[in-house]
Amino acid sequence: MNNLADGQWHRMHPATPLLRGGAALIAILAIVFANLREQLIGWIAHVPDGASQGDPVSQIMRHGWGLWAALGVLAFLGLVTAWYRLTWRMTEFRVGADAVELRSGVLNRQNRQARLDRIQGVNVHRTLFARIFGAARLEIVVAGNDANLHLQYLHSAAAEELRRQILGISHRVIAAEAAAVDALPGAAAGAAGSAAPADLGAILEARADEFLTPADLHPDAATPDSVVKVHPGRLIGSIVLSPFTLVLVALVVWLAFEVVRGNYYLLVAVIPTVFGLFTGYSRRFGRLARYTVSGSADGVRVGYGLLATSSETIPAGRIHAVGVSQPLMWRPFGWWAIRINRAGRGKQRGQAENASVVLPVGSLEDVARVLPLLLPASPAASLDLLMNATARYSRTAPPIFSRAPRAAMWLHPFAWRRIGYAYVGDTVALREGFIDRSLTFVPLARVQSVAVRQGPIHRWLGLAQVAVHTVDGRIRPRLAAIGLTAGEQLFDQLASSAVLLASRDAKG
Amino acid sequence: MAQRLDIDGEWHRVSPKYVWIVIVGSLVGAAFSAAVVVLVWWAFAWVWWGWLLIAALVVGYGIQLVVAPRRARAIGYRMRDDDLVLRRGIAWLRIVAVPYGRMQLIDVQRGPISRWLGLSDLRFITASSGSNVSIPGLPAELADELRDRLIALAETRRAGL
Repeated sequence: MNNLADGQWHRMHPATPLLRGGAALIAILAIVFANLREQLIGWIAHVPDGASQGDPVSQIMRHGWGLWAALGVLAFLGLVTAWYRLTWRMTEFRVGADAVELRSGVLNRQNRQARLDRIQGVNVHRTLFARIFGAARLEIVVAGNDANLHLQYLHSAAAEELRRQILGISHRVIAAEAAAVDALPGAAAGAAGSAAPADLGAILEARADEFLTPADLHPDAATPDSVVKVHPGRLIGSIVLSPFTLVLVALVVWLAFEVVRGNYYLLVAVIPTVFGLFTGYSRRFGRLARYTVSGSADGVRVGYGLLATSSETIPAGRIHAVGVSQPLMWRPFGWWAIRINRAGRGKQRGQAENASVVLPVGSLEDVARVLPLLLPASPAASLDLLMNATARYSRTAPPIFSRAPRAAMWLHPFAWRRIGYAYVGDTVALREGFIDRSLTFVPLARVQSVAVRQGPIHRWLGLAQVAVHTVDGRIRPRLAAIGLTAGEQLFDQLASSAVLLASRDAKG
Repeated sequence: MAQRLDIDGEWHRVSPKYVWIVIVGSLVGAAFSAAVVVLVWWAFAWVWWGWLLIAALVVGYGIQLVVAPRRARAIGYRMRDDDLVLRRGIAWLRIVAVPYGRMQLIDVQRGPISRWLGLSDLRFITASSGSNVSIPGLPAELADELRDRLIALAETRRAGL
């Protein structure tokens, strides 16, 4: 296999035109077939032609234009294929010294770059159609709205290897830049830029030898010690046990009741909706099935999907907030879900929810295995301790989290004892929730800003609220109630440590 | 029991002329709401409770006008060594600290009334929409100067995301 990250321009998988045009091709074939079906049945069964008078295909056949029509369809398909072939020829990518570049477009040329030091993660996606051809789409995630780079399609094995190489180079570029900044504050950029190519060439050769063996593609074949696999039964349970199900059950019961009373017309009206809702379940299951989480040198690896599979790698330094939560209905089973905030996946995108999930459902032990992967800077034992204090809260145990004053009872009658914060290394942990329990971690080096606020009721009770702002996502880290002076202190601590840790982080 | 949230130090205040922007804003809002209320009242054939709506409107905007100077005075900012701290609000008080290195973009905006009064608004964008920080009603020269200073500070303390 040739090395795709050697700094030269490369083309995509030769089957790309077919894979990208595949949907269009299938659609055309389906239309032609649907129209021909009657005709075929007619030919085979010798049914007198009469029902299909308005059908375009039978019209064509009756006028004897069959040959011309076939030629037309063929010419159209030829044009489409030629067009896709041309776009394939014009699409090239290159892994340079400081950026991954993609140039594409036939009429409107486009040149897109993802700077290696700004990469937020690299994902490999395989649709069912692409899997048949052994192809995969490589997605390079960078911060910004719709700024991601899609390399579609590559050989599966090549995509996997390229991902490792890009992540490895990205890691080194960041380290080299930090070193250069430390050594020569004046000529930082120039030094890093000129020193890189020679170095990288040697490293790339070494890596090429290292990775000549085909990469493991199957999500099941990841490093065994740190793997968490989501059992299908548990996944189904977690999907079914949601407030949405209660609505569905209520709907079905009401339907049954009405039918017993003789209102059969309702069946016709409501049953399609109910089936639609069930497809929602199966879609969610298909997407999250065979879910695995594992650690690698480049970051957390997440693999999922039944038919269309994806495998994502999230470098640990690109995680802005981690939320562990337990909805009320999961509590009897002791299940938890882990979500993260990260740049490059805005909240306005439809797949935001999907993209934020790291562990769709897992036991406390699974959580204990995944959390250290997401927060490598914090000691695993402390994370465990905090997680236990969240899951098995007891009034007599020594307090690990800060306590809100008694006055908070008026605003949060049940949850007030649970609202609190704690520090784990360079990470702040915020606990809250009585009905839906949650524990949120924010690495202080990733904090964007800190706010403290006080409304009239909070003022009257001598309380305040503290919010930690990270990049947008599903998690909004905040402390709903804290004593006034404690809140002011926390605000000062968070603000100053955020500055300190961010500057230390930038220096490597 | 009632205690006010505050952090130690001296706040810089915005221009006293900013009060006029708040007042004009309230008056425009009042005129617009009055038009809507009158339209609704007319649609309901001048029923008696229309008077209540008008009264509520007058009282609500009256309070806003009375409080306007205090609201303008409640806005404060402070430039510490490594971050910018902003304070806003009387009843709903909010204090935000934004590290200089986190500022992605600094906007200077001027509306028609601001321009007439020689004022500008400074707006800061970070990678989080939660930050939501702006200093309204700064004298135009000061706003430009502050922007240049903040950009220079952000450049020296640049951190990734």
